[in-house]
Amino acid sequence: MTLLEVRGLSKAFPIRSGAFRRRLARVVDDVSFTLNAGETLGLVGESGCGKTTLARCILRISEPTTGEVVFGGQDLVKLGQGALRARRSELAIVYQNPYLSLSPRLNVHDLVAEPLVTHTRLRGSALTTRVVELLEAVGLSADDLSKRARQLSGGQAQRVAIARALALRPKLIVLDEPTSALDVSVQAQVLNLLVRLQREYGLAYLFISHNLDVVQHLADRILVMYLGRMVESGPTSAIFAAPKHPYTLALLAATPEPDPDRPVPTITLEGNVPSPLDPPPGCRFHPRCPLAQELCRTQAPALRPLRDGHVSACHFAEELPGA
Amino acid sequence: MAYLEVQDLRIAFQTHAGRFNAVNGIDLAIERGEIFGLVGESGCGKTVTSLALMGLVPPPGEVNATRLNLDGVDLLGRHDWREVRGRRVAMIFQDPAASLNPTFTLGEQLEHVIGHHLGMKGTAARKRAADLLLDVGLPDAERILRAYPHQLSGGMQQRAMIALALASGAQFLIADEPTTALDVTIQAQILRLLRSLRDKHGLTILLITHDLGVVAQTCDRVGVLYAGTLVELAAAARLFRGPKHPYTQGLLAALPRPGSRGAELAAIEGQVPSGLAAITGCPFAARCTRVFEHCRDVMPMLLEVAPDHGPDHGPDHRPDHRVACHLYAGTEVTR
Repeated sequence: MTLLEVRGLSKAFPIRSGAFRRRLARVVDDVSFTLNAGETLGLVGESGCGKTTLARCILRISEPTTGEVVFGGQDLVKLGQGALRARRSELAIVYQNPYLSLSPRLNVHDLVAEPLVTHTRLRGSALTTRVVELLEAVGLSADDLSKRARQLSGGQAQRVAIARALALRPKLIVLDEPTSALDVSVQAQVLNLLVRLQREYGLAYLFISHNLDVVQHLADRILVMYLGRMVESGPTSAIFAAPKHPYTLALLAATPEPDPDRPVPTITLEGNVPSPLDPPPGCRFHPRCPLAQELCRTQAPALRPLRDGHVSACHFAEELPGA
Repeated sequence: MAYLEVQDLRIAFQTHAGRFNAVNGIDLAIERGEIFGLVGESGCGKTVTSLALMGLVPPPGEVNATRLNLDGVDLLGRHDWREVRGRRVAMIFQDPAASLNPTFTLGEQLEHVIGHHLGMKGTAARKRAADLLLDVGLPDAERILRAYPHQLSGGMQQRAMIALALASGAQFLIADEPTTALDVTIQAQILRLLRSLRDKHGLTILLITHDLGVVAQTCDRVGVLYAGTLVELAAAARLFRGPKHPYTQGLLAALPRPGSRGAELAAIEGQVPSGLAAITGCPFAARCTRVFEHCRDVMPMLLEVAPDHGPDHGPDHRPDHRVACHLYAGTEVTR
């Protein structure tokens, strides 16, 4: 069952360049995808590719410039503030750094209780019972109620952020690099927790990360973005077995694996991601693409469906070397 | 004699809560031209170890060792570090934007270092600065010399930082999480650059990181730190093919990898012991799945793994895999 459908979503920010000139930076450019209930979609790309902005537009923390965000049959973009607030309880977000996303002034009880106080009528001991229940669901206990974020380890603080996200029994949680600030042994604990919670509560995740190994661990499907555009999407196993866009291939090759016997990467990228103010003509990836040809410099490739539910925006998707 | 020799390095901080032991007796020997990786999680003592090599451990830190020697220069009890910092040892950090001076152009910063350490001025210094930029993969030297740090991308800033580190003629480079703030494709470029600088100039590099993948891809040898103790030391290929210490095994098992989807990751339960607590026995004992009585009483020494342990004896066996664990009754290494 489709829980979330994003259609043609774009977000442009006006950038001042010179005294009277304003230009538009199209940070997210015409992104469409669907997410089923209980499913995980991994959103992958490097800094500045628009993945966080896309997530913020879906939650309407940021207003999309154009496009639709159909959640549970209703376009969230068209909702007024009151109606949006009612629907918001079904969506939640967990950020990268819990010490920044959790208020330093509130204790654990108040942090987890805050969404419940705002959206429900729970008060007093019933409220505390629910807070403890949530803490136990994420592997914390009533002993932690009076602590503040700074007294917790990174892993514990992130568990509090997850408990807070779970408080209103959402259907979808956006996870924006939830383990990037954690050590590997703690990252493993948090990933295990996320897998368990998804199973128990039937949650859908939109999982944002730059780390492909972490994404593949959770995601059923992966969407790769480059400079605001979708370049590839498909089932996780298909993307890892045979990526159909040179950028995905390069990301996979660049991800360092703790395996000295891994074959030498077949593709390496030079240069940097260009500015979204001045996206290159033709395919946006062509200046860094080792396989670019004349066609790529002039004509922007459209997203094309390939086999196995795979979609790619590359003129030469069929001719890529296997990874 | 090794290029860098560290024997029984101990670093402690006197705090209001008591004495905090950050490093508890590390032995290290790094050869000239080697890329040595020091890997461990937050708070394991990897950064403070590298700071001790430059005399930069902040007060009230106390540094003690029986030997601390870089290329024949004694670093112990030194008050005047000018001969060491910059001239012999240079350091690059995680965030190049915070390490470069935002108020000077890169040309000014490079020429300042070149003037100070090599006594070059004017066009000679400018020429040298341009050469350095070329060396670190920034061919458009004219433009970059005139640029301020904020005008460069993160990857270019880190390249410029490396040029600045090399400008003084240092032969030993400490790279503390040099790619942690960078995207993976840029990280791959910087790691490739570090290896090529080693090959070209014979640099010795101490790479400090929490990322086991980065170590496997870049380093010749690796030391694994846990709670201020070196628990395992081996050639990178050997370590990743056959990790011996339960902590190293745990770290590798905790990593999500292609094919691990949906499976339970082997998280290491419990927490790192505080440096404030006195540790008797093995520092990993409280979290170890293979712990036995002896582990809690006696601190294991870093010993050579006897060749009849594990699957890796054979033609490529070199007696260079040490582990601090009672599970391996090793033969003691003579120094």
